[in-house]
Amino acid sequence: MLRTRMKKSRYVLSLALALFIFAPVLGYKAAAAELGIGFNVVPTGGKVGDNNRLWFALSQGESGIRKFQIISSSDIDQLIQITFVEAKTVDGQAIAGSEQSQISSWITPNSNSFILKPRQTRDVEIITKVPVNIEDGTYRAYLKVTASAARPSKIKSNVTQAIVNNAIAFNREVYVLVGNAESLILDFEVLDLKDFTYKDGSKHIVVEFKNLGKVPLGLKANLTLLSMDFANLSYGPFIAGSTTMLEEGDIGVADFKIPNEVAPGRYRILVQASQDSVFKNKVFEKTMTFPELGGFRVITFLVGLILLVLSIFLLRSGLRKIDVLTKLKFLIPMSLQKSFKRDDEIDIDKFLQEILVKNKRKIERAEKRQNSTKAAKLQKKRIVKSKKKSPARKQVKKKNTKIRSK
Amino acid sequence: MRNSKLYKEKSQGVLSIIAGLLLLVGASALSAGVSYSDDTAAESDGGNSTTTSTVDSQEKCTWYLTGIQASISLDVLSGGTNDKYDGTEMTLEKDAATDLTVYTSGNQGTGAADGNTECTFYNAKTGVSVSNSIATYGVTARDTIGADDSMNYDLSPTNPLKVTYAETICWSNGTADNPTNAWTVNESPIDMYSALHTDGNVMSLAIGDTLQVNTSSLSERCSASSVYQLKIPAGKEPSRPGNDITFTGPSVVFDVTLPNS
Repeated sequence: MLRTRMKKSRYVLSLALALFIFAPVLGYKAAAAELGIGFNVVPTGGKVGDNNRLWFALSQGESGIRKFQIISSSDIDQLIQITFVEAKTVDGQAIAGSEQSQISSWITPNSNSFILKPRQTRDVEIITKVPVNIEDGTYRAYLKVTASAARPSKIKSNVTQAIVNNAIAFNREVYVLVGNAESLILDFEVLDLKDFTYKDGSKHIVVEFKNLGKVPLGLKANLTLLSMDFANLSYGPFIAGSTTMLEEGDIGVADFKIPNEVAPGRYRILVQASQDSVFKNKVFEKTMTFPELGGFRVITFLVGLILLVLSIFLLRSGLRKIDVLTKLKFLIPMSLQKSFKRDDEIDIDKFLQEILVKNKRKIERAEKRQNSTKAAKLQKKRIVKSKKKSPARKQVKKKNTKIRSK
Repeated sequence: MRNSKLYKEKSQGVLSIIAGLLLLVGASALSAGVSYSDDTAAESDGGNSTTTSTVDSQEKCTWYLTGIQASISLDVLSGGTNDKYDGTEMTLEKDAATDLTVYTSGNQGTGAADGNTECTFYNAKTGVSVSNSIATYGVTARDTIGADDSMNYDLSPTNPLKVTYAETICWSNGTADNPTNAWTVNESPIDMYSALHTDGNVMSLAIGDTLQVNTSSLSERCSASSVYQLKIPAGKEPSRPGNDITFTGPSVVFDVTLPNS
């Protein structure tokens, strides 16, 4: 009993040891101190402040508050640091630089360095106060939320090695528009419906907007389709993601993906767009065709129709004079026409007559052949018979040969 | 002659079958174009009722970056020409133990990369991009006794800190079973040698490809494994030869940029 137990425990121990040794080979990755955070802007109202954005529109001396969340997805303590760095434009794209921003002195987080516990969520408020002596204009920066290990990792000192420390940084653009009520006009126009296209397997409608005000736009828009061909048939509203940021005078678009069952036809299209308290509606009457898909359908249909007509024509011509290829000569290259010419003008009576004549000749030839073979056979038989009738001659021949050999 | 006739008749038959099939295809395509679905949307009625009701709201989709090792120790390359620094160039390398992963999940932080919490972006589409950067470019040396300045060196274009990524699993607007992938993963080595160096794009998903505007069950995810490599340049001499040296390179920052939606 004791022996069996010992044996069992030995097996368990050796299995554990084997797993430990071969774990790297089997693709198991050892648990390491991992960093991990999530970042989220808390939506609040305001002239230009909206979901996901850290935008402020303030007069000189005025202040505004925005809030964001930092969420730990890690099992270790992380050191969080909050800074405001310059916004640089590289190849037309705004990116976070490494230098401190000129507006960092205006923006104060309620905490700019703290330890984020494992799986903890922390709300951070930032207060932007525009100095009195600042000129009207737009000022940009990047909020940088950096997470690194709260405590340094233990380092083995008895090996040659190189240590690389990592950090995570979430970057979010901060946009501060400074000016008085006159310079903070929020206005825009729904310009037109640009495209009815079929791309990536679905139908799209693109709507164009223009910023007529001074405040940057990040419009929310929706679109509803009312059929003019069929009463009570409507689709939507469909929601587009917010437009990209439109500055003063900019024209931008919102792309609406609509279901494929929306058929081409005449529609009354209602576009609604809004930012903060400003709403704009515009109704368009358009014929939607979705060219790529529509064109393909028509071509497929026409090809099918042509081929069906052609096949009916071919079948009907059946055993009568087949002059299809002559009629469709224009479709055949010149080089090929010669080879077709022989076959395309066949008269069926002539054709049958030719066959009859040929068959007759064949039969005649066959009869002749048959007669000649019969005659030959008869002659052979006669020869054989005549040989059988004279055996004395054979004996004489044999005797003669014996004498010679002697 | 007879064979030619038979051949012709057969071809006519085949041709008519093909034509019939094509007509079917064409006709069905055309009929699809004129079919209408009764997909009318129900307008909400904003009445004057004073009745109150409580509804639960969906969590907001949040971008997470995880799987970054706080610190990674690069070892002498096995099978290399030397296992101790002898004045010639020496390569140190390491596969990261965990995969870098970017994903969306709810804002309560209860989800994980391989099991996200249902969420919505509340109509505000966003994309994401991850890039690498370093703030400083110096590598400092230390042996078992103390700092060894004679072995310090700076990263340079010819001797950078190299990180190479390989896509593990990525999907957008889908699940592991239906991974429609619109992610771009840079699998070319990223050389880091200067704070000004900005060409360190690791992975990205454009705003237009984030389709999860109002759906809750689908998620966006991209994971990549990584290999770090650093070379100790030739021509150096330690001040206390015979000791193991630990080189500490600059911190690599994984910048997550959330473009304005």
